[in-house]
Amino acid sequence: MSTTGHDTRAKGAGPPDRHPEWERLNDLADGRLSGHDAREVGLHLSSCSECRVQLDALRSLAEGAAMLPRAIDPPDGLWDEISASIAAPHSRRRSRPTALWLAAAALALMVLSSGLTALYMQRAGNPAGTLATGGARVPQPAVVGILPASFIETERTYLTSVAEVEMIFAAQRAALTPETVAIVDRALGAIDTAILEARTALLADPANRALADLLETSYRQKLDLLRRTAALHQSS
Amino acid sequence: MNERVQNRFPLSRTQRPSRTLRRRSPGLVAALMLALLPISLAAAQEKVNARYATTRDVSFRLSGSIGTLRIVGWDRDSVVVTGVIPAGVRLEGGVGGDGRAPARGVKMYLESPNDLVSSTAALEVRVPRGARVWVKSGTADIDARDITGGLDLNVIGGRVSVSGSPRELQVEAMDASVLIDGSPGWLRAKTASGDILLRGGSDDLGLTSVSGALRVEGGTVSRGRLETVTGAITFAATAGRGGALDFDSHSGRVDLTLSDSSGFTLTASSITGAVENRFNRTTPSLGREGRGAELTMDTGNASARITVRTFRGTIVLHR
Repeated sequence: MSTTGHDTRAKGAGPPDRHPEWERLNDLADGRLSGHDAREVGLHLSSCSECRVQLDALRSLAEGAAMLPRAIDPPDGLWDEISASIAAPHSRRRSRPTALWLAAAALALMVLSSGLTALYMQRAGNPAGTLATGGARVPQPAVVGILPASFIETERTYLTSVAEVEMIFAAQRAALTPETVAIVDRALGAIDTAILEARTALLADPANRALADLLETSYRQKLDLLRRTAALHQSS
Repeated sequence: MNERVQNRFPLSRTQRPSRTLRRRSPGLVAALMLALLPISLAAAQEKVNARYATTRDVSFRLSGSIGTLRIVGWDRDSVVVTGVIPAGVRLEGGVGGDGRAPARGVKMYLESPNDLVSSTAALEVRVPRGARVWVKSGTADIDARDITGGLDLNVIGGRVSVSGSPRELQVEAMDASVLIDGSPGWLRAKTASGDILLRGGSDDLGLTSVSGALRVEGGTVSRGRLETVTGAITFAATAGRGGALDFDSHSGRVDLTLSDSSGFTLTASSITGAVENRFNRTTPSLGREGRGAELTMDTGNASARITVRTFRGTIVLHR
């Protein structure tokens, strides 16, 4: 790649005596490099003045951009809109959720989901454990209310990760446009509905591998969407 | 050209005077701005013209809110950025390298108070075909073509269109639609509500949406995973020999058009939905616990593995 002696290599680990890619230096300058990668690049920087110069230049550029004037006169009537928004009866301040609060919410979701399983089965008109299928009623096993053992740890991992990223998203929510927040909220609503449905069904049929896979897909989608959303404000 | 490579380049010079005046007399400035509004609008656009000598595989990064962005790969070892930006928007950039050799990286920031202000910004970026291009923006219309290196495009809304077959292509969007016309070697595209259409194939394909439709037409896909929550999936391409294709949808319909010529083993299951087989005469069976439907079938040498799963979305197999 380089005419300046910097080697081409894939992202990730590599010997510290090789020059890191320009993109990795960028990521380091932008604070986007993970701990291990940052340490690795840092090790290289400690003995490479050429890369230190590169990094300084990139940081200088970023700092210069950050100091660019942002003073743009707001459009007429903006303050009136803001005032009206504040005065609106439905407006309320969002408090930042704590990790404890989010963990409790995650636990509540699990309990609620389990409870809804029974409700779902009852409302389907199957007190004896039946589900309607194309007008016919077929016998169903009693709702066990326990997820398959292999999935419990998977779900716990996802719930913990989701709670962490939700906290970041909640903190950055105000920095996003209302349109973006609305898109994300709609998407999260759709995913949560899918999670609830699949989880409810999995509780009733714990041995169903396809169901477990579908549920994991929905959890993965939720986590990925939240991560992508949390990263959005970095561009604004 | 290398002289410019060394320096940051403030491309807008319209704001500093007004900021100085505003500090001195806000009322006077407001009156002056009103009086000069027609003139300001006429001169609101500022031209951009920046050129850099680069390596063939230069990394180009652009972040910030932008209205329209056109990225074109060309057969020259240089990056050229042209276009117009509205008043109030500033473009700053810098390059990697010591200035004595072609730059191996170009990085640019577009600073704007909001998407509305920058919605009329229009840039064309010409990069060497083998370049790796990284763009992060808000709502934007991005059109990228003839890149053989890598593309990493991240937007919230708007539209993303990619023509050509980059080695690596990653698109992340919220409600932007994504159209890919080509066969990237490695492709990942994710949206929330935006539709994704791939006209071509890929060795390694991953398409994800929440409610957006996922569609693949033509080409050969060796390894692929298409996931959506409520969106529809339409796949009308060839499964590569020895490949693996996975389709997951919670409630969206899944339509697969498959070819006899590509041997495969297919497993389709819908927890509460239906499976319709219009490919051959194999009859789907009732699913587990007496609901939903399942279907397993082999064709040809059965070298490819295809798995389709939905919760309640209908699965339809076509020939």
